[in-house]
Amino acid sequence: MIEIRLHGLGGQGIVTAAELIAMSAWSHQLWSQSVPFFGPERTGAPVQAFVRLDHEPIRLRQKIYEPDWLIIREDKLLANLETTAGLKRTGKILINSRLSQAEIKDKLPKNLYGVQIFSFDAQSLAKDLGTEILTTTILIGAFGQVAGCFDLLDLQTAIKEKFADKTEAIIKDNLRASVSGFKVKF
Amino acid sequence: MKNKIKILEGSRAIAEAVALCQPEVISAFPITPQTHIVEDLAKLISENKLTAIYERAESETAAASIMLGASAAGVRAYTATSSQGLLHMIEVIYNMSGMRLPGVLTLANRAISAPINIWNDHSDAMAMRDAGWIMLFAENSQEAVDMHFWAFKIGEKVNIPVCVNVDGFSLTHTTEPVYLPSKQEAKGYLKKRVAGSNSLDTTAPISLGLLYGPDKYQDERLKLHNDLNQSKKVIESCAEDYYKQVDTQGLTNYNKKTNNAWWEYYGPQTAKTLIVVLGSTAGTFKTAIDLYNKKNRDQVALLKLKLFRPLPIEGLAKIINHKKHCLVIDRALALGANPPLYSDIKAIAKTSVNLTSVVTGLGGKDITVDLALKAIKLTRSKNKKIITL
Repeated sequence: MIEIRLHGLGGQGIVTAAELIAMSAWSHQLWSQSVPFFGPERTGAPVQAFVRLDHEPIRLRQKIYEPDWLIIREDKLLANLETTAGLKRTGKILINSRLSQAEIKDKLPKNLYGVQIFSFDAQSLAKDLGTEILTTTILIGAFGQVAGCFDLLDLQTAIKEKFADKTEAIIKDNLRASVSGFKVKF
Repeated sequence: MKNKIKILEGSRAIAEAVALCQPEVISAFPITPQTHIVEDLAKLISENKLTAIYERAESETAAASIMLGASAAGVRAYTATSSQGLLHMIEVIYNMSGMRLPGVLTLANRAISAPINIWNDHSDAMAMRDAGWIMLFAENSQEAVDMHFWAFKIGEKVNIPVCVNVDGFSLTHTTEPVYLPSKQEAKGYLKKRVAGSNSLDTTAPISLGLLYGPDKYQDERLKLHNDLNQSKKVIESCAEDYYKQVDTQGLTNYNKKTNNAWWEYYGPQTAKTLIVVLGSTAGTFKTAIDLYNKKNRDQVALLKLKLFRPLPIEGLAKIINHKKHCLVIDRALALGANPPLYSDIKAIAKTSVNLTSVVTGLGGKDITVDLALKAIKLTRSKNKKIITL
């Protein structure tokens, strides 16, 4: 089983991102489950969401305390020790940041010195696409690429389904963002 | 197999299941964590996927009253709520069962104030425990979907309302794979509700909810009590019928002996220790039991109670009284007395069964595999005890 914990701020679509990962992995023939960190929605407050992926049905429902993956929407969240708490020593971090890998490593607790870091400036890529809100979708695309849990097509199917009641422009923007995420070079 | 299964948020799955059951009246008043269910039902109506009267009530008391009124008129009625919302409804809840009016309520289980808390436990369910409703508890989205189908069918057969309990957030906000019956399967299983002799009809007026004096009241209440107890067989046959007609693609493995309408027994039959739980926590406990049984010779089994009211007392006695140890997990307190599920089990178990009560998971406190393993270890102590973890 792969356990993924997503960190972001209220309003950045972290819960939706977790759902999109679960949906994409499901369409990639994996069993999946996504759970928001149970809380009332508050814009700007730290938000967590959890995703489990497995080759068999998932019945475990506790929060994710020892993730294999962390997806972090803002590097300023590294200042909060809860963000990296419990990450496996063999774990991986995907983070939206302008900082270099070495600079990010310096911000991590010492016991996580060995973890693998994938960082890139997703926010600038989103701005290039027209709106910063696409940062999260770009991150999911990048996750699909580096973790290999789903293909671009799986993510695009999930986007079309999840945003079915949104405008065509929103769907189109997110589809472009997914491509942009899959193209990131690490 | 997988192409028939969808991946949906729990609330969406429940809303789609309810829509497939074709209620004619839906009353709604929003409260977390139930809100997505009635929102999704409103969407389904706006998309012409469901034809129903959708009443946005001015309070939960009104929402429940609208359901009661619709049911009295002989139509299929539905509402959903949580926590304080249920407390607002409670007078109507008692009236509905007392008046023998069917209807289905989804209770997205949430803690009760004060202190205010929006997270999951079973305190709200326990507040309607003695109201004369049939009460089902789901472990996952699939069971939640299945139970809504049974609920309408059972209720309309025995003229008793049914409450389907789904853990707030843990199920309502979790996205996981689920099989939704096809329209054909749904129609085959659940026919349109037919108004009965106790339904309001302007051409043949009757009175409902009349005063019963000291000479008649007790008999009427006893009748509800007895009918509720006797509904257990109908509940079983409605579930059996459902799984005969609906292929849930392996997501629920119904079988009369170990996974029926009343409970699921998980683990070795020979296990000397039994854990009794309600709701979604069962999933985490199954993981813990597998881990424990791999490492220990003394095996543990789980009894996930799906039917909480009427309590299947005789059936439970047959299982529990063969065990040496029994651990009862309550996610609610009965303030000033023994925890509610524990009290029920204690009244069934022989004195030879070493009972332990664990109260945990109140107000969203996370129930982990570690906590479950800790609870299992506590069952071996000989002292009768009530522990909070």
